[in-house]
Amino acid sequence: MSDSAELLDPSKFNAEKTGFFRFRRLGDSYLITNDYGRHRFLSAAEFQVFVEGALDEKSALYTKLAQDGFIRDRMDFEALTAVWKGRNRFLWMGPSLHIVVVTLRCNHRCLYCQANSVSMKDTSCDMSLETADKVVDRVLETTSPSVTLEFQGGEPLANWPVVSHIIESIRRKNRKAGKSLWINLVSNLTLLDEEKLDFLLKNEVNFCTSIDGPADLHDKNRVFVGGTSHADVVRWFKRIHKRTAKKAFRIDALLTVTRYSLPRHKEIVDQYVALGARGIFLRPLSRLGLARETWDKIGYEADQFLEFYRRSLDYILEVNKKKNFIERSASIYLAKILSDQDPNFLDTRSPCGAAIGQIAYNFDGGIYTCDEGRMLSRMGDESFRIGSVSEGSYQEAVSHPTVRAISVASTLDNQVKCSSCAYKPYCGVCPIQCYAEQGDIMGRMPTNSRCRISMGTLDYLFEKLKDPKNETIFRRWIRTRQDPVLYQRQ
Amino acid sequence: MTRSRELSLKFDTSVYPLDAIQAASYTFTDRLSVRIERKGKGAVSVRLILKAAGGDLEALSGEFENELLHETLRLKVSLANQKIREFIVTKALVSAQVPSAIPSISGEAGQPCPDCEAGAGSGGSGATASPAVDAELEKEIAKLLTEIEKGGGAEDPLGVAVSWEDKYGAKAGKKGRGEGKVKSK
Repeated sequence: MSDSAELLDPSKFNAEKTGFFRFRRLGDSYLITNDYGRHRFLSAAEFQVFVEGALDEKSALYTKLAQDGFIRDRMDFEALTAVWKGRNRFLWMGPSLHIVVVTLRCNHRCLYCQANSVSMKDTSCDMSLETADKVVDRVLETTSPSVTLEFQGGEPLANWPVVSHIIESIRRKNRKAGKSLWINLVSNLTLLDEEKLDFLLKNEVNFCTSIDGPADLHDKNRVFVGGTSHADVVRWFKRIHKRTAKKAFRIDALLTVTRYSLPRHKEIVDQYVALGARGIFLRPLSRLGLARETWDKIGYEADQFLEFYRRSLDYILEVNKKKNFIERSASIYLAKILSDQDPNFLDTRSPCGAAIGQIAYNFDGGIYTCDEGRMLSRMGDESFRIGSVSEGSYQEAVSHPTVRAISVASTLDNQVKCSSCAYKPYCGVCPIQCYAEQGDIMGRMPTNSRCRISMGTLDYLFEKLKDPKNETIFRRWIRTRQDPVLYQRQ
Repeated sequence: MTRSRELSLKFDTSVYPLDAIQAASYTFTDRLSVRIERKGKGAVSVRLILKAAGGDLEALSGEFENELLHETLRLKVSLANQKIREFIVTKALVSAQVPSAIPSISGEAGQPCPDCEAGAGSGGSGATASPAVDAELEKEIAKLLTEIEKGGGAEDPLGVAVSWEDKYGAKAGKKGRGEGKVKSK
C-alpha cells in the first residue's frame, strides 16, 4: 500500500494551478488520476513540478494534463461535467440485471459452490409457476430501460418447466413493456438436450458456463454426480459456439481459480483458446457458501492469486500476438482507464449494483439486493433480503433501508482509503464480501483481500500500459462488445 | 539480539495535520498497531507497535514517514479542490433532472464555478442551453450547494459539512464569485 520514495515538500503544493488528482508511486513513476478517469504517468521530477504548479505552459506535458482536467486554471467545467456524467450514467438507470434462482437443485458438488445447492431429489427448493409469474411482473417494473434476466441456481435446467415458462412469458409481456431485453442462462450444461437447445436458441438466450481448465483440473473442482463434467461441458460449448456464430447472443465460459489452478495458468488459457472462446475471466474465489468450509484446501492468499494473474496475463498478451483473446477483468478495468465509458460491471463500480443495478429473486420469491445477498441467505443470514414478489411493492424493495446502507458503504468517497486511492475511478467494493470476510459492510481496506487483489491487478495493468504495444492490444480489447457480465455461482 | 517491537514518533501538527497522521496510520493497520496521542499544543505522538514478530520496525517507520508526506499532500489537494469537485458533481446530478440541459463533451461554452478562481473552460462549439434552462439549472445547483454548506443533520462528527472558509478563513480578493455565490455559515 505504501509508496516509499524520495519525496517532495507538500508545502510547495500550488493550490491556484494544480487541479485535483490522486496519485500512486509505480516503480520510478508517479501515476496520477482524477475524477474523470484520466491518468498520466509522471517521472518523480515531473510530478514535483506539477505539484508546484510550475510546468512550462508551452510544453506537451502541460497541454496533455490540461486536456485531462489536471490543471486547475484550465478546467472546462462543461466538458468535465459531461465526462463525469457519462462515466456515472448507471446512476440514472435503475436495476438492469435481474437474477432469478429457479431452483437450488444441482447435479454438481463444486468445491467452491457459493449457492449451497441441494440434491436433485429435493424439489422443495424449486420455484413454482405462480412465483415465476410474479417475478416476471416485478422484473418489468424496473426503471431501467434495459433488462438482463439471468437464470441461476442450483442448476437452472433442473427446473426446465419454470425456465421455459419465464422465457416465453417475459418475451410476451415485454412487447408491451418495451425494454431492451437480454436473457442469460448460467448453467453447467449437463442437463441440456437438443430440444431444449432449440428452444433457447429460438429465444435468443445467451449461455454462460464454467470451464475450470483441462479435464482433470475441471473435474477436481467441479465434482459431477453423473460422471465427468468436463466432457459434457466442452461438447455443449463447442456445439452452442458453432450454432451462435455471428449471432447477437452466444456462449461464454467463466473460470474460478482455486489453489489447484495456481501452477497451471498456461494449460488453462490454452484450453480456452482451443475452444475458440473470445477470452477468459480470471476470477478469484469468494469466501461464500461452501468455499468458506473448503478454504483450507482450495483457498489462497491474495498475493498467490496475483502471481497467478500476472503470469496468466503475460501469457495472454503472448497469445494476442496471434489472435485477439481478452482477459475479462482486465477489459472491465481498461474500459474505464482508456475510455470515458463505464461498462457497468456491477461489482466494480461506485456505488455497487446492489438493488440499484441488480436484484436477485430466490426460488421462493424472496427479493435480495444481489446474488451475494441471496447466497448469505443460504448461510442463514437474511440481512440482505429486501422484500418478496408476493408482498410489498417494487419501490419498497429498492428503497429498503438495507439498500441505502449498502449504497453508502459501496460509495468509494465514503471509504477511508478508497476516497484517496489513485484507482478510485476504476474500482469498486462489495459490501457483502466485506461483511462475509470482515464482519462489516464498510470493510477495512488495508487488510481486505479483495482490495489487495484489485490493487495488485491494477498495478500490473498500469505497468503493462507503459509499453505502447500492450496499450494497442488493450485498446483492441475494449472495442470488443461489452455485454452485461454473467455470473457463475456453481 | 532482541529487536524492539515498538517505537514512538513525534510530529508537529502545523507541518503534518492530524487528519494526515490518522490517514497514514490507517494505511499501516495491517502490519502495525498505532496509537496517536496529543503531546501538548501543536504536537502529536504516534506509537507504532509491530503486529507480527520478525517485522522490520525501522523500515516500517521510514515508510510511515513517507506515507505521512503523501497523505499531507493528498489532504492539501483535496481541500483546495473541494468546491470545484462539488460543483461539477452537483451540476452533473442536477442536469440529469433537466434533460434538455444535459451538457455534451464538445458542446457548450464553459461556465464559471460559482465559488472558485478557476476560470471558464477552454471553450467548445459555443452552443449553449437555453437561458430558461440555464437559470433553472443554476437555481438547483445553488440550492443544493447551499444545502451542502448548511449540512442536513444536527451532528457533523467528521466535520465534512464545514466549509474551507469556516475552517481556515476566507481568502481575500477572490474572483469569479458573482452569481450562485454560496454564503458561508
